[in-house]
Amino acid sequence: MTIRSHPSEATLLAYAAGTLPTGVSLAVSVHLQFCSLCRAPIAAWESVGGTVLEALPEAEMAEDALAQTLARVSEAQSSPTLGKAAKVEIAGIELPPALAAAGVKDRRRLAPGIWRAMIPAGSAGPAETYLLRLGANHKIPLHGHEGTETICVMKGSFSDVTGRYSAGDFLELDETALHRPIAGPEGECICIISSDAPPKLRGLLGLLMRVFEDRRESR
Amino acid sequence: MRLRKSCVQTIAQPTPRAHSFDRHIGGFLTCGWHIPPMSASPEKATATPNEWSVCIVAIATSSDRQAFARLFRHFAPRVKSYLLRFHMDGSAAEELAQETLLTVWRKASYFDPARASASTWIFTIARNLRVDFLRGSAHPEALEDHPALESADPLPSDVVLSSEREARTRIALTGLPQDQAEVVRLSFFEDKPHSEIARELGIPLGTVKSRLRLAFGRLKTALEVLT
Repeated sequence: MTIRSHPSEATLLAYAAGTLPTGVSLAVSVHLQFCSLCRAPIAAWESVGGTVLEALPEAEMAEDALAQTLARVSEAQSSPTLGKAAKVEIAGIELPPALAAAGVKDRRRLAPGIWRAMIPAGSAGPAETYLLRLGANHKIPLHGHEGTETICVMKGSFSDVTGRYSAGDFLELDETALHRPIAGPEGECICIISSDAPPKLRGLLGLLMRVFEDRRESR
Repeated sequence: MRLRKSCVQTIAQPTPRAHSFDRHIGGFLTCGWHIPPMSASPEKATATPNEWSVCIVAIATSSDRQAFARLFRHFAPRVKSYLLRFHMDGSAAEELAQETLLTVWRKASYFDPARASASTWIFTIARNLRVDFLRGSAHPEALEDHPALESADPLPSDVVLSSEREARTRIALTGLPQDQAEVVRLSFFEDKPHSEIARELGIPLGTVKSRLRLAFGRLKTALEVLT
């Protein structure tokens, strides 16, 4: 399966620099699970980061900084070796370590065949990050966004006027985008979605999502 | 991935000597900064990038505290400087700089000099710790292997040794025009890269994006990493 939609070069650079908003960074980490091509430019940008670090002027460290760290090094030796974090799966998909570490809340049913699971780490202020599941052929009503929305498909596929997107495809939609995604007929579609402003949804699902939001906030 | 002939020829060329390399990079990334000269004073040991890698390997293989002290003296002040650029509080920057070097000790056995230089590897650790600090994460990502540095699954780009790729990346960057070099450099110090950079330089957002795109294009040409 070929991934046809990748993060922009600026997004890859910001990912390597560690300056992306958390939700977008998590979406990129999902994309990287599927896409080995994008790992190479990230590695390249990381080496630029190493060069930047090397060229920085020296800040003054505390006088006993080295002694303190060496003391902790001794503790570190006696502590058990670092283990790999346990694998976390959702609907048969293994989450990338960053997403597993960030934590995904329980699923909330929004409508028949549609659930959403919030990712609190990527949901600060107006920003929201969540997993969204659409059953086969289910659709989200026509909607736009006040800010930008980042989507990475984790399972199945969806289509909108711009084309069909399947596992690994990564989309960055700006405020001018208006779309009506519909899940593919082959089965459920699960995406990680991060938006820096809530979607402007119309219709019943929009209403349900707003009610859900009110309940979440009033708790 | 298939490499173009011109690209293969580039790989076959010998890697430039470390010191001349540094001088080029110094010109590229340090415009406007005060960079202490690479002094040869006895108390402040200097080393080529490769020697820093040797230090990390020495920590991994023989828990070499002297090698660690050398690395610490060189990198901890730079990591702190990096963190301070994000307007991080001084004591938090101090603590995270120490934590970064402590992580270098703990994870030294994961370091593969063929895949990344010491400075790149330490940069990724500092970056991850900063991100975890901002997220208030209970599960530090810095302790996970970063996807780009993971050695488990071979990537198409592994046709080229990562150290070669790194060398070529740096060479490609030395040729960047100053305006492109500047947005690349600033991208490493701003949490809202585009808008902040645009404000800092007093240029439109679109110009920031187009400069990054141009810089990326050069990198891509040098690496042939994308099809």
